[in-house]
Amino acid sequence: MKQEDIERLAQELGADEARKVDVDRVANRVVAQLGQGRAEGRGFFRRPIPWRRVAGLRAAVAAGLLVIGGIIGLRALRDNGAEAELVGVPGLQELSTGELNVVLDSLAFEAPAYRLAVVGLDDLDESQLQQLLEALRG
Amino acid sequence: MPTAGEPVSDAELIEAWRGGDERAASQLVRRHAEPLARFLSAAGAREELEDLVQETFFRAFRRIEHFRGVASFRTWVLTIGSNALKDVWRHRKRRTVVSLQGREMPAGPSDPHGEAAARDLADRVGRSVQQLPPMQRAVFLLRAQQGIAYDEIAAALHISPGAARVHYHHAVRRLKKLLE
Repeated sequence: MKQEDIERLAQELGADEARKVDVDRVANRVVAQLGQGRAEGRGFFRRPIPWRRVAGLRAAVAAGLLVIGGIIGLRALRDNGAEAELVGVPGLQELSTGELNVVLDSLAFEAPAYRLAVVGLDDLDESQLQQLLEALRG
Repeated sequence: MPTAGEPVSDAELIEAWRGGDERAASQLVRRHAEPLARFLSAAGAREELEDLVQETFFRAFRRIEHFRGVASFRTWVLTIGSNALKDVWRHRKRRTVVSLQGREMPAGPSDPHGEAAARDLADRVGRSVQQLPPMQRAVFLLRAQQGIAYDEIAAALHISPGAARVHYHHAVRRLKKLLE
């Protein structure tokens, strides 16, 4: 299939399902939900974040990743042949190291262990860090 | 809120909402809910679509102070929706083992052959898009479905325009392979 055909079909994706969404109902619910949040004084207004706990988890995960993340990641990359896929991609030379990592990450998406090695720990919330720790333990 | 009848920009509505005008929030939802629903559906949202649209807007308004206007409000909302969908999947993974990829078409009236074939093709594209890695899928849908410029996609996803192009390139290549 040609790129133009894929792009044309992509424009219509989800149109039927979107028509079933009752926009007025959604708008009313959102406004009610926001009003409730304001009334309860927890508007923008999240629960206090347990920073110490999150920081501890982050440190633990970082230590685990340092030990095994790189090894598994390199193996996953090699197994997926992701480096070979990058050859000849336009614009690649403009990317920073971090961006190249993200591209490589997306190419090696079948290998979750590799992804762990490139996602910033600062991006993860407490539950994600917990999951990550459990995965590392497993 | 600005006078009724005048075209009101998203920025003005956001300011009005920040000032406590709930009608402004409602108007923003009405303006952007349909493209958001198309985006989320194409990205893999199912029966939870309407709830997800609601949750996305709720999150957006709750974090409105983080909206800097680097990307448009719509693009910003789409990226929040993308994250909300990931949360749904994470939650579902923990609770069930239902496949997210087996998308069933709703039973409908019998189509003429050509229309059925076109539907089938569109469905195959939809399923293939859902098999893309998250970043490629987001970039592809923002560009191909929503028609958003690379610069804006890049700003919304915190990547460079060059990286956005590379992700798009890989997405199209992978889609071609999947649709062979």
